[in-house]
Amino acid sequence: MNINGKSILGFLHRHYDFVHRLFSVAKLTNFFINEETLKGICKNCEISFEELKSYRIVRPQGNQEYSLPAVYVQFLSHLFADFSIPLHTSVDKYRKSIADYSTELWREKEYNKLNDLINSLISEIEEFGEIVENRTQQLLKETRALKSNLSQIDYLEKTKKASYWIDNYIIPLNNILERDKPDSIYQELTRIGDFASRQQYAHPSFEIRSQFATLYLYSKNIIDEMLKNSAIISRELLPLAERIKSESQILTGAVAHLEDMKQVALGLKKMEELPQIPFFETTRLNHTLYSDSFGLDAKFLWGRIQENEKFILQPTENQIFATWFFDLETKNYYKKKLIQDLPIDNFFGWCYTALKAEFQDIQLQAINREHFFAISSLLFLNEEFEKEFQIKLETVFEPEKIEIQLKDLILEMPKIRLKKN
Amino acid sequence: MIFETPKNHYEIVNDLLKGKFIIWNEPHFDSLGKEQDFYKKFFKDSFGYELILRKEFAYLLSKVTNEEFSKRFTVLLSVLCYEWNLQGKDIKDYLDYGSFSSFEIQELLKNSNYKDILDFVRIKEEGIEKIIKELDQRNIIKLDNSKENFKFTKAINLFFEFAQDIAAQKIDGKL
Repeated sequence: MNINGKSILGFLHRHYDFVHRLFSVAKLTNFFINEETLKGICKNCEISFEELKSYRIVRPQGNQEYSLPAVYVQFLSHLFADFSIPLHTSVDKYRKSIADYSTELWREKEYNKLNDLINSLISEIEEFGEIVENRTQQLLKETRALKSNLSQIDYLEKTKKASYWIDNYIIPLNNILERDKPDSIYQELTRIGDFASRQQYAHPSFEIRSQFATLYLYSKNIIDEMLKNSAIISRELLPLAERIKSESQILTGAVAHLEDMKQVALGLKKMEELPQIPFFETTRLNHTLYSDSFGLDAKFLWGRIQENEKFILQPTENQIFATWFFDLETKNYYKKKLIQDLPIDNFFGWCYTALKAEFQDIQLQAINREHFFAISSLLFLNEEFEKEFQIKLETVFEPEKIEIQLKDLILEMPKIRLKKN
Repeated sequence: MIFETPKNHYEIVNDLLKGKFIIWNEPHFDSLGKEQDFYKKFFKDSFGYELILRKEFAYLLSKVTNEEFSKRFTVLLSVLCYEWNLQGKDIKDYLDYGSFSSFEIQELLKNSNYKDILDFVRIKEEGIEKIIKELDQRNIIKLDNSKENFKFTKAINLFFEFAQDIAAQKIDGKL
């Protein structure tokens, strides 16, 4: 069989689908493929295994393994726009090699060496540009595929994959392209471009001037490409990957939480073992903790403190505080009392009598509007009564009016009957 | 000497003590931010509560938390996330920017695969309005003027963080 460039291209052309399949399968195992799999693909596509070997599109590695030669990997990756993504160091090495070549270039005076250095630098820059472009596009392609999740991988796996890509590929790639870092490839290429731009006119040799002109164009083009790719990474790729990551994390957590709750429902786990959001417990507070008269009280106290005379706040002699608070304890006391006294024929009358009884105990005589309205608020606590005492209250308004005389107000109130529903 | 309290003092103290989240776009959030040292000390010394002030919302933490509300909230949100994901929605964007009606939520819960868990935490479709009301009172959602549609406020981030923490522990193999 006559094997030459034309016949190889002819084979690739005739068996395009087979080659694509071979490439895709081999890519999964880093372009190594065992003989059995390889023969299976050949059989499916009706290709002679011997013919394939004779074209040297696969190379035997012993151990009944074959590899796809690097030249085919590169060529077919371009052909199918499907690139493997080697680890970050394979990109970063270009940053170092370009920096090394350019340092040598500044110092070199000898014609032949200068010529070789410029050629090496051009080819290095070109390879670097291609790798960055391919890698960006491939990452974008794979990230979009991960987002649409056609291969139906679960949320946890998705989170792991997105995190891995972000940490190992996307952020390192973005860092290399970063404009502002002094040792970034952007800075290096800008220095090379500036130097080549001057040398394309200043160098005494015509050939070297022309070489520098090419180097200048290459570095300028690659900078433009890099900026384009950098924008794709920071504007699309990174946000997309971050979103996949956080979205999958939320779903992983949500589903895991529901599964944990299932275990609690089945008695296999305790509720206390599960994490929870520390929501503030409102029922332990009541709305009178913050008083409307706080400002005035504080102003009064502040005024006293400003006076020269000694001002000491102390309880009255018989240790009874003259101030009455409708605090949680008081509120609970009245709630219990109301439940005990049910049915109540005249709610507001009950409020007054109850307060009077308490005030007699603590030697407080005058019932004012603040005291009265605080206790009257019990009328609106249906939900609390239901929750705490499992009692539903029924309120009946009578047409009759009653008068309540307070220290600072005389009220005419409707007669309200309260009973258990 | 004039006795002065920080601006919007009444709203700040009242809202926080009622278990409400104060959201970044409310006028008293700015006042709270400006006087955060004062308020941190104020709540700690007056009540023993810790004031958490984040970029987008503020709330109080106490040693006693409302476990019942937390349980129902986390289950409700987890079920909604699961169901919306099945419908192909982008969960985070949807919760951040979407507008919802109680009817829509009721329908989702009615047909959910996690009906047994919803029953377990006593979330019923017919009682969803009560839960929505509580979420609104706590400023976790904002009901519109019609009181029928609502949007989540930035306080929803607490749920995202809650779920992400669980996921992180799953990945680390701690759960």
